[in-house]
Amino acid sequence: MKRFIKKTLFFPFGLIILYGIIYFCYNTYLNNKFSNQNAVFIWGDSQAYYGIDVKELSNKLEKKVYTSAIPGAGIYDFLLFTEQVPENSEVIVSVSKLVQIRRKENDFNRTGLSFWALKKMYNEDYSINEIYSIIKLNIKPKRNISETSELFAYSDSMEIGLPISHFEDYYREVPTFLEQKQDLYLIGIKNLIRKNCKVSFLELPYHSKLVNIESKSLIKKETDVFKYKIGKLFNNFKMDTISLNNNKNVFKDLSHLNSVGAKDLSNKLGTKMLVDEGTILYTAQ
Amino acid sequence: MLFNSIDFAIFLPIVFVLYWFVVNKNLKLQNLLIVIASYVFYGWWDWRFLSLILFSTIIDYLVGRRLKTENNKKNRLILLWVSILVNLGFLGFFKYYNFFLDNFVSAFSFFGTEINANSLNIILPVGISFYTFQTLSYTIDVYKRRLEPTKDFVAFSAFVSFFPQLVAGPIERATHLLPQFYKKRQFDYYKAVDGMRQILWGLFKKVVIADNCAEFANQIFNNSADYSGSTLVLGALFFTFQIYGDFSGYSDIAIGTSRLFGFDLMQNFNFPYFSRDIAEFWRRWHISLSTWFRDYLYIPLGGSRGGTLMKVRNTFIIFIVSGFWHGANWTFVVWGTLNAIYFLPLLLTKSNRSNLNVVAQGKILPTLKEFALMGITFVLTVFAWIFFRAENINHAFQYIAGIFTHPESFLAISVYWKYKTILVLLSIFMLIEWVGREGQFAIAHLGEKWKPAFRYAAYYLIIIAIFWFGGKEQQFIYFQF
Repeated sequence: MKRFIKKTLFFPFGLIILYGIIYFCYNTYLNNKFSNQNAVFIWGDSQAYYGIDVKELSNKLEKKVYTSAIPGAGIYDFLLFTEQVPENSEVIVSVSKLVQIRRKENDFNRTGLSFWALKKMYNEDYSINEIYSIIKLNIKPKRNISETSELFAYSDSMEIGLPISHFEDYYREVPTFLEQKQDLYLIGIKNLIRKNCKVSFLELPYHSKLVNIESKSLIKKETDVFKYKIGKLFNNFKMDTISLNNNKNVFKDLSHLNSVGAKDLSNKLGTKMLVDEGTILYTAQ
Repeated sequence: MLFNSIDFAIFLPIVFVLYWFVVNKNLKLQNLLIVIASYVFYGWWDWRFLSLILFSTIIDYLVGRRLKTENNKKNRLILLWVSILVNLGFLGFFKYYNFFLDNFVSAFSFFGTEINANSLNIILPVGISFYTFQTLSYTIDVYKRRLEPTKDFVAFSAFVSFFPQLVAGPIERATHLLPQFYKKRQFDYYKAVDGMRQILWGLFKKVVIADNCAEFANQIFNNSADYSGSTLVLGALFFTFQIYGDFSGYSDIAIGTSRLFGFDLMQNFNFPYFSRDIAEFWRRWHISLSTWFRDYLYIPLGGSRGGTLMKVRNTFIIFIVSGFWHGANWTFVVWGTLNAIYFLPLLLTKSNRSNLNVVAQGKILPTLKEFALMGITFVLTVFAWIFFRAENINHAFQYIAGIFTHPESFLAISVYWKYKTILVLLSIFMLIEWVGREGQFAIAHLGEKWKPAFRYAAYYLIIIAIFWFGGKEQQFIYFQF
């Protein structure tokens, strides 16, 4: 019996070691593009996933551009991203308001395992259950980086994807977890600063109907304060706007650009990034 | 409580520690602990159904006691029928009431008479078909004087409700399992390690094979009208492996768990998809049910003792009843009948016992003939599973018709490419099963002669595969039977 108990108790140690080795090797293989020192890395949620034409931006900047944007991306994914990008690299972070106010359980949280990120979340009062469910989602390594983007085809008119009521629900009241998420966002940004990354922030546009809802919501004040807090982390922080072409419909739905919008935005963003110095928050309109 | 749940992962070590460290000195207490643990395990689903098990246990215990002292033939028969009626009465009510009612109403409606009868909203108690058959085996064996009735109510309760096999078998015979509750159990290291290995393989079958196949099989069967012939064939194939991985995986976990507690359960699956004919398949698939029907139905009906007509009749009865045991739906009856039809040529040519040994025993590869025979048997089995999985008879026929439309789709690589991961997993799985087919389960002898480090690495790789390739958690299919 002693022998059985001893072996049963020791069995998991070997498993953890082997699992760790395999996980590390496979994860490194899947995400080896993160080792590219002279590239631009993008992070964001679905707005950035569909709203940035990676090829266009890459042509403009004459650099490799990789995107880690993923629909539904959450704060955990952002923390992990900041861990993965190499030091001294150039980073575009999409400051999506929906990332901040999306219900925690709807966050993607599936871009790999990081004890650092989990610890930060635990410190910010994420419950053990929440941490456990994140671990469960990340047991298998996943490719988090790509050099292509998936764009929505152009159409003359916008589709109503999610109904307006969905967004009204989201903006009805200030979520209790907003500050918690914003603090974690700031921790990630600080990590990028520590790594000496050149950070550009990008606020992708919403359709005017959604802007209307947002402007009437109490959340607006909180997200504006948050932008201010981001600015305070940098010595040379500026804000700039990118005006998208109004001749054609640029929206796929209320919160996502179509391919025309994405191309236009990427072109103009690239042009500005080539000349701008310091840390800039670009707001596309 | 599901075997592949966190609840069970906590429950099992607690019961194990209590069993071997706290109550290990007292056999009665050990049995009592098994009863309590089993009731907790079962009550985790729905505590209300515990009363059914308890009632069955009391009735069969009392019937057994009376049979011991009763010598009058007629009275003995009455006692037997009390047990049969109570047990089958529960089963009939919970499982078949609505089915019979609906068919009754439809039959009258066919002849122009409308009957108003409301179906009841009945929840089927998990595993009722399994423990009902297990307790019935006790009463029948006591009646036939093959088994001495027990005085020990706790041991009997433990036999009826033994948690590893309570909800999905193997359906144990009282003659085999009950005496194990009378004997003092000694912890056997090798038995326990073997049990752990079998649990691991069972989990792999369930989580990696069955759950992944289930996702695709459900998708394809539920939208069969939208798919081409090649995808429908894949759908049937996925279900074939889903049901095998699911059910044999459960049996492996059940047998492995029992070994941890010092019990031996009967083998329930013996690599059925390597069978060379349908008779061999039925000697290897759900062995505990097939042998139950053989011993308590087929043989009492006359078995193969009578003339050809009687043999054919008995074969059809056993297969149709077996089909009906699986569920209250005509699809199961057709599935059973189809298997009887497959069996018939073997019976009539007296070749139903021609493949008793393991295929290609001691060899790496089968002969071409063996390979062809396995292929034919497998195709027949896959075809029968379509009826088993279909929602109703119409659906099954539409599904089969769909296979033969757009035959050009069979050449489209893209169809198979879409399912590449699961197809690769299935190939690896079948390869491991083939290599290990001479053992009790596929990895029973895995790495026996290897250095421990390599053997452990193999176990770790299986666990990692469970983590990485595990499908979306699905209920065990056989719970509904």
